[in-house]
Amino acid sequence: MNTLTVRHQWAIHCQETWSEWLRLIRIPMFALPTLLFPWMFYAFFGVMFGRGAGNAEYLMVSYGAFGVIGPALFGFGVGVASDRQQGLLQLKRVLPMPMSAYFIAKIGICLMFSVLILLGLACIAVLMGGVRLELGQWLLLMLILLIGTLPFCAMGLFIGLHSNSQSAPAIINLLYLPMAFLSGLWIPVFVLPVILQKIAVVFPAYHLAQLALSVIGKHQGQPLSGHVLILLLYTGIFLLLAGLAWRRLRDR
Amino acid sequence: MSYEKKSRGLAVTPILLVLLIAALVGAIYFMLNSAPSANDGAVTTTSDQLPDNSFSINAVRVFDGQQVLENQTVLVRDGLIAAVGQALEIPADLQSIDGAGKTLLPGLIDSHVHLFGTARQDALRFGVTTAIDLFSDQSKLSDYRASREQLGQQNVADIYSAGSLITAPGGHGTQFGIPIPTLSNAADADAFVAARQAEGSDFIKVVYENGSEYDGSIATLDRATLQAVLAAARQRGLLSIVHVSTLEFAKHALQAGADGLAHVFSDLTADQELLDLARQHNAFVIATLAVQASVAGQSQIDRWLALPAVDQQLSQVQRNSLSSAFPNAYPDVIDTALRSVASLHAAGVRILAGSDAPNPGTAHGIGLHQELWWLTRAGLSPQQALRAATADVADVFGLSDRGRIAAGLRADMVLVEGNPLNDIDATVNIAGVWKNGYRIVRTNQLAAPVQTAAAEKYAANLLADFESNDIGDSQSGWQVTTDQMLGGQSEAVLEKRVEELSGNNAGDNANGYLHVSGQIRSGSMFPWAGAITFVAPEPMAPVDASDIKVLRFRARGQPGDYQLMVFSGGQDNTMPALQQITLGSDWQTHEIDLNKVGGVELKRLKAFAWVAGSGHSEFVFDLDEVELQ
Repeated sequence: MNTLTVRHQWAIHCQETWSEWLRLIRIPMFALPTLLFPWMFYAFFGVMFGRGAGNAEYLMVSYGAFGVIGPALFGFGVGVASDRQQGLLQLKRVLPMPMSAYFIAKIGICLMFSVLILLGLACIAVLMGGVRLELGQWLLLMLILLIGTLPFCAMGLFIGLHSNSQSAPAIINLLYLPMAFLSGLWIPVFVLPVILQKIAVVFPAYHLAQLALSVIGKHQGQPLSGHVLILLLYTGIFLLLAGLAWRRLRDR
Repeated sequence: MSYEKKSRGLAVTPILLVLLIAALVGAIYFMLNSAPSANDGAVTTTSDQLPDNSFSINAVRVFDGQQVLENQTVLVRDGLIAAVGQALEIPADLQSIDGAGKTLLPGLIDSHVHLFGTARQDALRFGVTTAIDLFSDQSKLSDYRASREQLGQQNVADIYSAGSLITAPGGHGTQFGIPIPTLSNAADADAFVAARQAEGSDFIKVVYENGSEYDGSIATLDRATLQAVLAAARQRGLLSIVHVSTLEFAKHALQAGADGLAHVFSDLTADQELLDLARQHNAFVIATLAVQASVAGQSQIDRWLALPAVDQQLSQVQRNSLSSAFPNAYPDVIDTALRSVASLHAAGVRILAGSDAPNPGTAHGIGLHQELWWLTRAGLSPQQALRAATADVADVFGLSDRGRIAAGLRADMVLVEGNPLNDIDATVNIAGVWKNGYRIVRTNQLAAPVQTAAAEKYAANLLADFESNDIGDSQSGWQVTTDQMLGGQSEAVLEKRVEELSGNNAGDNANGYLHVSGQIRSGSMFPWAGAITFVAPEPMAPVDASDIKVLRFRARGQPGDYQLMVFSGGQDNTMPALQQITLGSDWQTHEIDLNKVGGVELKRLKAFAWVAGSGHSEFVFDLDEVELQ
């Protein structure tokens, strides 16, 4: 393992990422919904049916959070589950490739999809919704939402290691869609009944959305450090859980 | 990898996991408590402060709708009465109100009104938290229902309504110039009642009146149709209330199965046959003595106008309504009516208190207090009269969430000075009115301008830089104002914020500001939502501010047009002067020359409000450094 040079390492990581990209983009069942749903939902509910630029701006951010969570959960969850079931994971582990390449590739693809989703949303927001933000706000928003995919990557990994390729999409949808709604990603959280607003605090998606909304000053006013802390804790917990599952897999 | 290392890793991981999960639960709990409270229309302040709809009243005499209880504590939590008792432990975080020497009554219920104009506000100012409307515009029925089912802040009385009434073509009720459907024969009765039910009528009001009592002749439902209507109502589970003026027609109505009479008849005194009928059918009678007195030309308005507590609270509309009279007086009416109510009451027939406001000689709100006094003149004790305006009405109309002071009920309450159980006139000495647990702001309607000596006070008050924690202070601070006071559904939330993410142009050292966010919803003719601040320490009290010329403030917001509302003038219901302000996403200082805003009366300046209006849906704006010069 120590014989690989940095250049080799880099090449391997790039190769793995590229093949992962090719794989996913060739599965329309993954690529299309992940990209189109946030765009479509936002265009319908945020721009065409919502009135006023305030809605368009708020919902651009919340659908942005909705958008980036999708590839993280599905890319990791379904990806790992099917790799495992098809034996690809085992194959990759016996290859002389460092295992990090496998994860880096998955994260990289998740980020690529996220960037595409966010760019699409931004185009709709600017062209159809009349949303105007400062350059700094755009960049900060992008940064928060991209980094914010990490806890969901960890969740996806955990689910992927505990389910098979048939059950993973169902499990993820059961988690993803209610969580998106209850976290106020589809309709603003303050429109929800008070009891649901309280429940929202449990979900990591709520905290990601609040962090992102703080860029446009529309968060609910809780301390931002709290949102960051909760997202970090979720990441830690699911990484640990995934680590345990990973070790069991390896020891088998 | 050695086994040793692996086993240590395996041992440590679960512990770490448990720690992380514990931290997560802790963090979520923390965030939950730091979440801004989301009570409808409530002023959001700091996280540890309870909303205004939780408080206690201590050492107070309670009339609970039926009984009198001395030296009680009443706990209100989130708009509901949580407990009533003698030795209650009062949670330390609860704001407490001293009730010594005062009497707490259930929010009063007027059993006979006709809604019009500002009726719902006027009623509430006089402690009438619910009114039974016996004919008005049926298009509002669903609004009434929504309003009375919610527990948020509102400054209007709740309404149960008959909607349109059931009368013959050309009959009583058709003379007001509003086209209403009419019923001409018994065969159509069921369909007609069904139509009222479909419109959302909570009960039906039937007119059975030929005008004979008032030297006239008007078309009326015939007896067969009356019977058919009441049968249909019974079958459909609707309570029926019949308007009659004569003893004979009252008997017909009761025989046909009317649940109650909208007035006591006034041609003849109740005879034994009628008393038997009423008892047998367990019918109720809404006495409406105040309006009968007015018909008799004996409304005795000066009695009430002489009470300062009444005089101060009468709006011009109420004053006009009180002082007007019916064109012809029928002097015998009131004595007959009083005698009938006395014998009905003695016979055990349930009497309800209803004012029939805004008929001449009555007015919304005060009318029920007039009626309570008249009921005592008919021989009811003050306690019996008060029951007729609280628990008895709730029982008759099946209002299970109101009409009493008891745990679990809506905190609709009136606190009065003294003891109305000894002296019924004490009901007008109102110390506080709560609707859904929120205290109603009762403005002195006659308020003279505060003298200039107080000028420094208001200047200091209004000058707000949002550095100190003062926005939720209900006395002098900032409050939410929305179209909910006119039946709209817009919302706003105020929040003191400190500049944090964007470092650019935060102002010198001053970085606290007022953050106003909300939602404009359709449902009101003039939708608005935003923040209001009063010039005087007391809300909406006028201040002589003729030495002031300029209002200056810094603001930014979601770019667009907003309104500055300037409230001034002697009357409560004066429309505010409006000044359009355009906000951008950066802070900008605005200077408003108050002399140039049309309709501002600086001698009686009351309040400023910054609001978003009909062009908005969801909106956000920030205010800072508000000052008068």
